[in-house]
Formats: sequence, C-alpha cells, structure tokens
Amino acid sequence: MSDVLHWDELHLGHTLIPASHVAHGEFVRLVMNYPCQYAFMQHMFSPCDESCADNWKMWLQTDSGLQMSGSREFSMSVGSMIRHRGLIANLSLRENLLLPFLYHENHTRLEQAADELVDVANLIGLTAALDEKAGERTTFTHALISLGRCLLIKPAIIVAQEVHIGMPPEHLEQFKDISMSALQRLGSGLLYLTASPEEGSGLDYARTLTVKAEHKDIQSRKGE
Amino acid sequence: MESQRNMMMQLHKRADRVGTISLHMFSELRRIFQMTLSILVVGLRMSWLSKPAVTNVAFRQIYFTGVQGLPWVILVALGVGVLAVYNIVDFAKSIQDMSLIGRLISNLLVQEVAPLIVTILLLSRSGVAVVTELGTMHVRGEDLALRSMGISVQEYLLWPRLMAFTLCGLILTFVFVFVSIWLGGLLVSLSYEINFIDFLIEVRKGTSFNELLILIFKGSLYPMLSAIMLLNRGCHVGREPNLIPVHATQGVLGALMLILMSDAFIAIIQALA
Repeated sequence: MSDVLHWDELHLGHTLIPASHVAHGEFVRLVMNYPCQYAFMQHMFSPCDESCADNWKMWLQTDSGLQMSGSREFSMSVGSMIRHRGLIANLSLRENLLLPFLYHENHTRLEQAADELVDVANLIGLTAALDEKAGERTTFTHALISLGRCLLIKPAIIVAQEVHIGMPPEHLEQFKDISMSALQRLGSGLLYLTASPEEGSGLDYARTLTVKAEHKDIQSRKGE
Repeated sequence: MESQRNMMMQLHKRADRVGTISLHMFSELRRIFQMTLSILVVGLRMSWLSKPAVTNVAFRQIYFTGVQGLPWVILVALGVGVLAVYNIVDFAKSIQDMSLIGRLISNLLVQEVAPLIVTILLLSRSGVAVVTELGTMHVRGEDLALRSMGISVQEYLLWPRLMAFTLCGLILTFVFVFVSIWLGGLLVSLSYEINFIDFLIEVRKGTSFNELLILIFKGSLYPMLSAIMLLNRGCHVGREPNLIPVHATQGVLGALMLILMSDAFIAIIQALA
C-alpha cells in the first residue's frame, strides 16, 4: 500500500501550518494549540463537493487516484480518534462502532464489519457493553470506541487528536497497550495532533512538526 | 446649535441601531434559507432511504413526534371538538340557520383551529426536545465526530427531524379534524337536539375541495416552519451548555410567532384573492 495523506499550506487565522504529509505506516506528530487543532480537523472533515474543488487543501493519495478531504472515500480511508468525541450519546455502543458502515451504502463492508465486530469488541474490552446506550462515558471509552471504529474501517491513515489526555493512569496504560497492538495490527499511518510534545502516547514518531500560533514560526525536527 | 448637534447624534445612533438590527435579521434569514435549502437538497435526493443509519433516526423521530404525540392530539381534539361543535350548533339553532354549521366548522375548526393547535401541541411536546437534543450534540462535539466519519449532519440529524415534524404534523392535523368533528358531533348529539347524521350532512355540505387543500397546505406548512426555526436554534447553541435552555425558549417562541404571522399572511392573501 502506498497511501499518503497530504495537506497544503494552511492559514488558520494568523497561524501558518506548513504543507506536509503522512505516509502509510508512518507516525507524525503535529504540535499546535487547541484552536488550531480544531480548525485543522474542521478543514479535514468538512464536506466538500465538486464546486469547491479549487480550494481542496487535503487529500489522500492512493494507488487508484486522489481522494479529496470531505469525500465519502476519504472518510472511509482516513480514520479519526478525537479526544472525547468518539461517541454519539443516543446510540448503543454497537451502533456507534458500526455507524460509518450503516451510513455509507456499502452492504459488503457492513456485513464484513458486523462479522468482525465481536473480535474488535473483545480486543477493546467492550464485549459485554455492546448493547448499552452510550450516554455519558469516560474519555477512555470514547477513545476505545474510536479505536474500535478504526479497527473496523481499516484506514490507511489515522488522525488522532490528544486521545491520551485526561485519562487516569491505569486507563492510560491500558489504552496505550490496546492502541499499540491495534496500530501494529492495522499498519496504518498516524497523524497525532497535540498541544504538547509530552502527550503521553508513548508512540515512536518519525517526525514532529511544531506550529507556533501567531508567530508564523515553524520548527521541524526528525524523530523523537 | 448644541441641541441640534445632540439631536443629530441621537438620530445617527438610532439609524445605527436600526441598521445593525436590519443587517442582523437579514443575515439570520439568509442563514435559515441556506440551511433549509441544504436540508431539502439532501432529503429530497432520497438517497437517505437506502442508509440504515438515517432511516433509523427517521423512524425514531416519527415515533417520538407522531406516535407518542397521538394520544395528546386525540385528547385535545376531543375537548376542542365538543366545545366547538356545541357552540356552533347552539349558535346555528339560535338564529335558525342550520346551514351555518357546516360553514363554521369548515372555516373555523378545519381551516384555522386544527393546524394551529396541532402545531402548538407539537411545539410544546417535541419542540424543546429537538432544540435541546441538537444543542447537546453540538456541546458534546458530536457534529465533528459525525463529519469525521463522512456523515452529513444535514442528512443524518436535520432532515429526519424536519421530515418527521412535517409528515406527523400533517397526519395529526387530519386526526385532529376527524376526532373533533366525529367524536365532538357524536357527544353533542347525545345530549343536544341534533341528529348526528344531520350534523354530518351539514358538515359535508359546508366543506369543499379547496378547504381540504388549504388544510393540507397549512397542516404541512406550519409544522415545517416550526421545525426550521427549531433546527436553526439547535444548530447555533455553540459549545456553551448553559445556552441550551435559552435557545430552546427562543426556538419555541420564534416558531410560535412565525406560524401566527404565516396564518395572518395567509388570511390576508385569502381575503384579497
């Protein structure tokens, strides 16, 4: 697989985010403040139709062509793990895991995901709670459901936003173990959006990009 | 000279205020129009019918708005029907013109009261729930979660609510009319000097196809306008949970004002036509 997530230079208010990319299997960390993270994700996940093709700033380069951000293909190839934004409260955990498949009209993938659901739920430790209504849950459960959804979608790239922040230590250790084994199993690339380089994920990043708000000062360094 | 300058300053301030309010209203109307258009575009494309996630939400909304609201509509229709039929029959008998029964029932109960009362019932029962649910979803950031899965907020969240409100509003208006005329007439005929069959014949005589069309028009327009107002408020709660009740109140009151203004507008158009 040679899928690469690209984004062009982005001006978010006074902040400039440099053009960069994340390749399949590569872990990249993008350090910037929360408003910039949020704006970056809004840009990535906003629906985009043919009429705004000239303004496309993010895309996934695949063997079969380009998938523009906001398109159906893009959302099924780029997984997301957003801090405390993994659940829809009035759905059950099962429905939450299967939601993208229940929405996008692809019966083959829906059946495949339904078959794999038990295995995934077992891996993330939520088998017994699958039919419970989501309601209010901890950051840990939000993160687990996001991870479970990624395991079902099998994305080329995962965009994670501070999923490790705000978990109690025992949950953090447990989540680190589960996410490590999930990432190994998937082999996907990872773009980790965080406000601090000490985000506690314990992942081995190939690159870290640091964006400083309002100063247009961008540092880039290799490795950890 | 000084007083003239002060007067000019005051005039400028007032003009400024009027201008700001007008611009605000214009941008709000434009936003509502764009939102409605985007919801209708995704809804009327009908592709949602093949998406289990959306049909599931649509069924839930229809159940909550229509099925659970049915007993309340029947109860209110019974009370309003008995009162309206009793007073209309009494009035018609007092001036010895029984042909008035059909016309009054058609003009008052069918054309005016039924669509208004059903919409007010829907607003009081489901209106607050719609704004609160959407507002809470925004506060929780569920809109971003949905978009990150490639799910259209218009198709998944807004269209099922708009569709359920409009469809259930129309059906409940017909239920209201049916219950208020039949059960109201039946109860009044038990205790009053009018035969139920004669009453129904008078109602039939006083009702034309045009009135039925107006009932369909108002019965779907009022709930739809209410839903648009509620969805607009629900989508603008932002990230502040303490603003949810404020927006819920604004949504329900705004919808109420909107349907009353629409009713007055339709009445003027009918009078001019």
